[in-house]
Amino acid sequence: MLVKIACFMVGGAAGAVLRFLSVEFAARCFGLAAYRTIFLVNLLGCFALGVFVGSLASPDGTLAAFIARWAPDQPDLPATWLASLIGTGLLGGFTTFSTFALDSLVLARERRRVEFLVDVLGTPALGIALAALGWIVAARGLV
Amino acid sequence: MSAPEDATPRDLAIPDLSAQVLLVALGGGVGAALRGLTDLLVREVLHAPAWTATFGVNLAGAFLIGIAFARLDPRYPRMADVAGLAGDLPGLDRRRRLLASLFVTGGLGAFTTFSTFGLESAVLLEHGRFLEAALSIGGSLILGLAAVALGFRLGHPALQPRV
Repeated sequence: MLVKIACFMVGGAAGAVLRFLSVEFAARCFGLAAYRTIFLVNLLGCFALGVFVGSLASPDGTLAAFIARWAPDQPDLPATWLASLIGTGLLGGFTTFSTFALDSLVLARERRRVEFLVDVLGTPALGIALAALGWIVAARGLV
Repeated sequence: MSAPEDATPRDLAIPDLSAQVLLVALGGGVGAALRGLTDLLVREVLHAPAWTATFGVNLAGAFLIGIAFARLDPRYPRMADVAGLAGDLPGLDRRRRLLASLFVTGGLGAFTTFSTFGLESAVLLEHGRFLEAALSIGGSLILGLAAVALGFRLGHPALQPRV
């Protein structure tokens, strides 16, 4: 349990710092608005999580096979601490829902309709698709 | 170490960035740990499906970021640009910027997650659990935005009910 909490904390700290530095870097070097960087960060994180879980699953594995392995009620599996560190901690902390929701609301309030729709519909649609794609690509050994 | 009162923003830039990184790491570690523990609680103690943990955490985080944003940047309705939303709120004083790094970028940013939401939604769709997928995706979007708006309303100093 303590190992798991330590994995959450280390991974989450690293993921949050990576997200913060991505926003700062993109703003300073490319003049990219923070909500656009968050959009890209969330999509990248979804794809990376798909690749991560796909690579842990057996080559012919289905999503169900991985869920059984990632499940915390099987603590003897070596994948669980790695899942806590990389899946829950690093990629969970790298991506964010709260800032996404706040950004979307601000875009709506400012009547920036196209950007609002791209953000509020595009992030989940592309995120889910990229998570599935990452899974498929990794499970077939393409990454 | 404390900067002189008349220091230009350029003088403050580097130490502020390191301070922000430290605060983001601290908040991010605590936020991710709280999410991980919530996840374990929901799965192992309550025996509820995993996506409900992410769903609940994301909605709670959306509500809290509404409160935090209203308190940190009360100019909100007139904000010219949303460029500063992820921690570098333009024109904010140093104290508020550092508080935003700790609680918003680090804490709430890592407490909530998009990648797990995306993967779990893909899993629900793959398994043909369409009702749960619709609740997860539609609920997160609609209730998430509503939670931010509610938190903002309850947290904004100018919108407090007169007693």
